[in-house]
Amino acid sequence: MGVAAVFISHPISAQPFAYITNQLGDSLSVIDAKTNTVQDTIPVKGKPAGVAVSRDGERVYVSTPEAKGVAVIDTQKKAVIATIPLSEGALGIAVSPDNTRLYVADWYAHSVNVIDTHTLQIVGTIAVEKSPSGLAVSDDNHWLYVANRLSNSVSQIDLKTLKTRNVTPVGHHPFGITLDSKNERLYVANVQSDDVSILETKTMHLIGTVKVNKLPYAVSLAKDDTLFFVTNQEDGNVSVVDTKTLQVIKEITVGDKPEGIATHTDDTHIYVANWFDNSVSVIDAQTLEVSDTIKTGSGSRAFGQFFSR
Amino acid sequence: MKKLTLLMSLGAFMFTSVASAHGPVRQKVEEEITINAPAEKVWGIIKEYNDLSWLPAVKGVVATGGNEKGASRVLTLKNGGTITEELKKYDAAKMTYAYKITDISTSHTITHSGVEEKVPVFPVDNYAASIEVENKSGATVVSWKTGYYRAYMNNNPPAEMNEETANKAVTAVLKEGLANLKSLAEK
Repeated sequence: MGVAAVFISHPISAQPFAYITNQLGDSLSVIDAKTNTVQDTIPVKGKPAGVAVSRDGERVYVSTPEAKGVAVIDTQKKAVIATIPLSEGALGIAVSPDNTRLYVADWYAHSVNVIDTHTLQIVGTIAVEKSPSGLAVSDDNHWLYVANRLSNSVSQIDLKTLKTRNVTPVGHHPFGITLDSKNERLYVANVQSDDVSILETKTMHLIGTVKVNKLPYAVSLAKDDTLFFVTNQEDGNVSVVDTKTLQVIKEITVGDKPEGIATHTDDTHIYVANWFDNSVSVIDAQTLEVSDTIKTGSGSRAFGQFFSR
Repeated sequence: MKKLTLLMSLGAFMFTSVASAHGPVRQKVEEEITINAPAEKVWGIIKEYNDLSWLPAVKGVVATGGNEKGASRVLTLKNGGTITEELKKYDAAKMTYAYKITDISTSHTITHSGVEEKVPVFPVDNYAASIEVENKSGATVVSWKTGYYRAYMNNNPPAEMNEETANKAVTAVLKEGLANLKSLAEK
C-alpha cells in the first residue's frame, strides 16, 4: 500500500503540468509539460480567468468572475472539489508558498481577500488601491505585491500584519506582476504605457523601465533570471528582454492575443496562453523560437502562475 | 477657494471613473462565410479602409490616413450614431487588416443603481477586430474576428450594457456584413 501511494503521488512532482484556464470555454486544460499534450480538460463554470497552483501540485485555484468566486480543483481527482464565494471582481490570484493561504484580488472592491486554504474561509481583507489585478507572494510568505491597475501603482503588503508597507508608482495600468527567483526584483507589465517597470523589492525603488510592444499583459522569467518574457496582447508576440542590460533582444510571434505566461520547471520553456487562438505557444529560451503549439479551449487566459512545480 | 478645491477633486474623480475598469470577462465573436468568387475580387471590395459601403449598418465614412497603420475612420451609422476606429495592422499580401474602436457615441442615457449611464450606440468596450480573406481550394473564405468587453464598466451591469446585449449586437453586424459581402462578390 505504501509503495502504491508513493507510486501514485510521485508523478505529480516529477512531471510538471500547466493548468490553462479557458475563459469562454468554461474549462481548465491540463497540459502534460513533458509531452506537451492536453492530458485532461476539467469543466470549470463561471468564466475561469486567474489561476494559481499550490507548490505541492495538489490544488489548482481558479478565479471565476461570473460565478463570483474561486473554484478549487483537486489535481488527482481532476475535478472541482469546492467553490469559494467572493464577488464578480475576483480575478488576480496567488497561493502562499506553504499552501496555507490564498490571496484573491477584487477588481471592483479594491481589496485583496486572504483565504485559509483548509477551511476555505476569508480570514482577512486588505484594502489596496484601485482595481487590483496581478498578485505575487515572496517565497518566505512575508510580502504580497499587488498591481493596482487603475491607480498605476504597486502595493507591498506585510503579510504578518496585513498592512501596506509601500505604494509605489509604476507605468500606466499595471496588470501582470512577477517576482524573480531570488525575490529581489519585481517585474510589472503596464498595459497602457506599453512598458515593463522593474522594482527592487528591498526598497521598492524603480530600477528601470523597458518599452515593449502594444498592451503588455504579463511577465515570466527564464534561464536563471537572465531573461524575461512579456506577452504583448495586441501585437500577438512576446518580447524577450535581457534582465542585465534591459534591452529587448527579440520579438517572438506567438498566437493571437497572448495573455497568461509562465515558465516550465526546467527554467527554459515558456508557455503562453493565446486568448484568441485557443492555444498555448511554447517558447524555447535557448533558441528563442516557438517549439510547440498546443490546442486548448476557447479563450485561453491563464492569468497567474499556472505551472505545478 | 474651498468650493474650487471641491470642484476640482470632483472633476478628478469623474475623470478617473470615465477612464474606468472594464467588465471581468472579455467576449469573442468569430464569423466566417464562404464566397463563390475569386479572393482578389472579394478583397477588392473591402480593402480600402475608408470604404465601408459593403457594410449595411454604416451610412458613411470619413477617414484620414489611407491604409496606413494609425489611420482613422469615423463611421456614421444608419441609426444615427458614430463609431471611431483606428487601423492597427494592414497586410495587402495576406489580404487582412485589423482595427480597434477608439470612440462610440451615446445612444441614450439610463439610470442604473442610481447613476446616470450613457448607453453607447454599439454596446461594447475595448473592441478590437480583424478581417481576413483567404483562398481555400478554389473558394474564398472571409473570416471576421472580434474581441471586446461589455459596455458597462462596473459591477452588476444593466441589461442594455451586459455581455448578452454586446454579443447580440456584434454578431448581427458581422453576419449582416458578411452576407452582404457575399452577395456583392457573387454578382
